[in-house]
Amino acid sequence: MSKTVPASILSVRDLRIGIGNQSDLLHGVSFDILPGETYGLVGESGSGKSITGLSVLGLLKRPLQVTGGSILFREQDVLKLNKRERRRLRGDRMAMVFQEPMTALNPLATVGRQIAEMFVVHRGLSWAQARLKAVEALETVHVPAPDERARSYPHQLSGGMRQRVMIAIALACRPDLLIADEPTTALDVTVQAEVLKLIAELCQREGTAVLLVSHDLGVIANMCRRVGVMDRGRLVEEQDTRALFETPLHPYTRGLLAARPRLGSRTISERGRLTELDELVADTQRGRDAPTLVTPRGMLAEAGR
Amino acid sequence: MSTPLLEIRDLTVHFPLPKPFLFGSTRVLKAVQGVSLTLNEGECLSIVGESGCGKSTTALSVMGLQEPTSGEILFKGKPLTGPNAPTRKERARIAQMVFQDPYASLNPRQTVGRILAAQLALHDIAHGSEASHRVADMLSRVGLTPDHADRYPHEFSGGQRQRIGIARALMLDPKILVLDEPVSALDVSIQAQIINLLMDLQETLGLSYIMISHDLSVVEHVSDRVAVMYFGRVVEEGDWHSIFSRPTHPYTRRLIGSVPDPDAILSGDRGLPDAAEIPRNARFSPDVSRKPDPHENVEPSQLVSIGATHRVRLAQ
Repeated sequence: MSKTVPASILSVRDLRIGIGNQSDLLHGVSFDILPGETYGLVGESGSGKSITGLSVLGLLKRPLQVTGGSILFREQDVLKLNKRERRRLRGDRMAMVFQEPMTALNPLATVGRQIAEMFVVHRGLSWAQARLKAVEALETVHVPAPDERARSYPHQLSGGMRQRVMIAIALACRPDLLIADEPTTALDVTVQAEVLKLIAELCQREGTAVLLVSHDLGVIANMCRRVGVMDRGRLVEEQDTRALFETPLHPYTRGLLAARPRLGSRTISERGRLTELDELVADTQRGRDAPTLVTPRGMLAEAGR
Repeated sequence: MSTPLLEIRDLTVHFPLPKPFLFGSTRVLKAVQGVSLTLNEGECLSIVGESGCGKSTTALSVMGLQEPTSGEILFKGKPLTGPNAPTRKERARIAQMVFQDPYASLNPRQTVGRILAAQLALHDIAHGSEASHRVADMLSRVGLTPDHADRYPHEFSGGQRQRIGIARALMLDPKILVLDEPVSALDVSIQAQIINLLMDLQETLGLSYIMISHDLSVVEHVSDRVAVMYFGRVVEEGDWHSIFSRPTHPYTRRLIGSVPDPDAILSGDRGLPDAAEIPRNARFSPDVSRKPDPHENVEPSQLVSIGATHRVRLAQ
């Protein structure tokens, strides 16, 4: 097993997040993302999936803070870096796509300028050069008439276009890791499909690893090779996507999979009730780690941990 | 045939846009263009489509919150629009709405009891202890407990808030509930509970639903009939089974094909069911390969029957 597995790009070990010195939001989460891999974190709101993503970038808002564990990015513990060093990483080597592009973009600057800023800050280009690069970046995210669009303000664009701009900003410096927090939740299904395809296509081309945070099992299945399921601040299960849907191990995952309405599941004769989550999972079973965590390093590495 | 509970006839809603220049011509945004739909008693009609397709505007017209440009809406054969329209108070007892975002649609400064009881007082149905009795009754009906009446909305979770939103809509005993994306703001784990609650209430209270949604798996599960809207027009309509087993209009097919369905993705089977046959030489309208302009007049077209209850829009 061990011979061909590359070093992980991101390695989160026993990450704890809390308020003050209590770790009451995230109780020790560990996972690895390999270079070029798309890893999904799925869970309901309040399960801790978003703060996990934010803590990797160092964007946790007070009073939330990391109270324990380590976040190794390219074998370097980012928690030990000072603010300046982290700022240099952020946007350059690791970047983020947020859920709501309207609030994440600056309404007072043209989108071209917001993309160009990345090249000015991280690559030291002049604004004139950066603007040309920005137009190119818009072209790679398939924005029609990129020259013209670069001069528009966020409010002049549709939701799907705004999210494309966000992706262009995030991928401008060809980061090693992209964190996408519910990137398509605010979009229509047809637009969602296009945006997901775009993220997959660009990240595959550049070999960018992706941490995809979502509550939508469909999106996760569409994008990810491996999935971690979070519940109440714990990673309760981690498996290959296919295995997760075929043989979910943790009772919470089983409940989550059974509770969703599925396309094509209704029979003509009746309109059955949906199974509710708490019919399948007892409260005492929630938020505990499953004993069988499967990682890409195989069971062997897992046993040695 | 008996009169349907609600009938929307040729509903058109245009929004005037500001003039581009001082002497420019006034442009209008044609949000809804000739929509006709019927809702039978005890039925759930779903309207699906992307944002901007006019589904919410149609629902707001039913609620009386949006004056139609032309067309009429009949409730049990009596018009809800025009000179003989009922007053707002009368309307409130016909149709009520459940909003998408339970965080934004409840007054944060009023207790749940007050939110629910206000309408009873306003309609002079019940006051004082009689009102609080009814509030307690309604709360237990939607799966909350009577003592929740003393709490404020922020003390509840998203799913509980949506239950309060449903209770609020049901206080006046309306015949029709307009559900505007009732579960899309909720967690997957909570969605099932709210969907089950809505289906139970429909059965026990004999309600009729108009559900606006873009989540097709929920639509398939709950609806009796489905209308697909695209740029202000109904492009396909039929009972839920025809729509999902024989999606015919290219837009419907695109919509169903875009749903990220884990089972289909993992089994590698992304194929859609076959479309129903349309007459030779016929062409679907509008052309979905390019985006229609909502300011322009649409090409003449009509809904053509392609099954017992299944209709699709073809160009004339």
